[in-house]
Amino acid sequence: MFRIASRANTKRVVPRLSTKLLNSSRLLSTFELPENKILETIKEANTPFEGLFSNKAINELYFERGQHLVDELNRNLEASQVTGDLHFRGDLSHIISKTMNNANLYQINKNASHLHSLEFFFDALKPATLAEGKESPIQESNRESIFETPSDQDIETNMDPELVSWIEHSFGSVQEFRNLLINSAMGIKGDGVVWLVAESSMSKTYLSDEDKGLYHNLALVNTYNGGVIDGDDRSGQMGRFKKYLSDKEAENKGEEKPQEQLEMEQEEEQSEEQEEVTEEQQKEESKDSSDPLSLGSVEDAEYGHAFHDKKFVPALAIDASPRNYLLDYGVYGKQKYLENLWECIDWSIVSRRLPPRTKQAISNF
Amino acid sequence: MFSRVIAKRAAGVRLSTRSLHRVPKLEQHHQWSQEGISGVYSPEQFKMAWTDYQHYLLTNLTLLTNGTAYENKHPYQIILQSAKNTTDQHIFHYASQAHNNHLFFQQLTSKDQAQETRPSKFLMQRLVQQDIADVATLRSKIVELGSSTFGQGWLFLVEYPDKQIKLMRTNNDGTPYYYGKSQVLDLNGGVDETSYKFVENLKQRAANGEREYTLPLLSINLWDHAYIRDYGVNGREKYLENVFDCIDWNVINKRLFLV
Repeated sequence: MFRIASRANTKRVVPRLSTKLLNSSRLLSTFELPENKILETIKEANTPFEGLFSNKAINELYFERGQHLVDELNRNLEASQVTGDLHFRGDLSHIISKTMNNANLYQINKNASHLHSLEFFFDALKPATLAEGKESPIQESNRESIFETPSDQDIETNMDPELVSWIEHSFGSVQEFRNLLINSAMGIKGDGVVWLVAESSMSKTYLSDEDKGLYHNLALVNTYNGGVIDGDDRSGQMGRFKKYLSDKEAENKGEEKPQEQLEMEQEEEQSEEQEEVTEEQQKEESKDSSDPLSLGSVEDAEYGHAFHDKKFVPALAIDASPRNYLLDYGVYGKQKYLENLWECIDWSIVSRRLPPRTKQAISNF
Repeated sequence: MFSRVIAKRAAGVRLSTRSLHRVPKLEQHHQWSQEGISGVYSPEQFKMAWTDYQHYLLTNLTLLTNGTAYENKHPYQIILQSAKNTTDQHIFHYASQAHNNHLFFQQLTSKDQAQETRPSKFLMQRLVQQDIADVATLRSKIVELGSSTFGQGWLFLVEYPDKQIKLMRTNNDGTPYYYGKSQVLDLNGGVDETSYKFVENLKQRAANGEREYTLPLLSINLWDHAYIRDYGVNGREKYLENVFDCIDWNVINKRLFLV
């Protein structure tokens, strides 16, 4: 998935000889802020990103924040490599998936994934062309906007007919898709991104590495705090820990311990464990009749739903984090920001990022 | 007999009055909206972080709670009640944010005045047990924890029932009042054994119906709303340094639970 994603990337990866580790001649990956022609022109010309961001906001959101993420990423990568047991080379996506399920590399992972979604977000945007004499839509929203009804009339896009037909197949209509996209973004309260993804019809288990999969359906997925779409390496961690720890306990049970004290402890553990097991069994048995207003555990979510074993190809990222609208649109301006954002999506890039569509001969439902 | 029935009815009518959540009045609100809070906020940033944001939160809270069982309750009560209901988390968000933000602004004052106040001896004695020997260490710990946090959140100094005082960082709208919704872990990356056990432990505590008696003493807003206009997207560290210097410790000292 990341291979496809990175095709649109303009990131430069500059392998260089580490000055510190010159003798061992190891290569370090150092990152630079990805090039974005549109944004660089805007910065130089000191003009706003027409229809969406002021010049100041672009500077803050892309150049300042992006540079900060790059610096932090490089610093953490270097620190991890100095310790000697880790080797990170290659592109951003590789580093993200490598660090995703290792809590010790939290900082590298977070910086890398934030950088990735920042790049992915801005790469698919282009300034809107304003009708002459029309007021710029970049304006701070006021208190009254809480009570305004969001408008979804007169939606025009420059999507190619192929994409329109795919969206209509998956979401009903472009209008419904737009509303779902905006509402999903409104639902994110902290930092987060809404992704438009193509969903593979087969789970990863049945796909070999070379197999790209078949894609019938488009879907929207929310991620939080720098989460990435290909969360497969990450998901299942809770389940794996559960299994690992219960295996370890089972091993301990098998071993003979000389000290009485240990045995006592063990017995205690065992009895506790048995209690847990019965409780869990009860829970599982009563799942169907259980309170429909309560959710299952994290493991249930990992295995039963969402990401587990699914292959997704992201095509569009909509950043719904507060920083994106606070600067230009103020506290009340999230809805307005998202509506303006819709007008600035470059659908040709979205089409290019999507895998070829496979039409189903037989409908699933 | 008759009169009793009427009295009851009257009481019933009074109870069902619609309640609107309105922005609580800060003592220095007028001055701060004109001049900002000297040492930490410009008037624009104060408007964003308090006047606008608090209004936004409370208006949304009113809209969501009208006509529900939460209608007559204070944000604090709504936090406690909605925290355990999966389907009420949107309500919880507004209540928790509003409450935390109010706690935060109650304890701020201008830098000159703040510098004249000190944490009480009693408070510092407790902090020494957490290897926080002096105010400078507390400051650097808060700045470090806050600026290394990804995403939105809150920083609290909380008092546990056993009188320990610890720092607590909650993600997004986490509350210190209920362990199940304190959201201290960000499970969005690698999960280590400690985090796994922490989550398992939470599950167990919730299953046992364990109650929480933790109380916040100090609350610091890490949301973008609290600093982005004055300090920029990367300005959290500078903001935390400044905000720490503007804490009125007299307020914090009074929040300690004293018998």
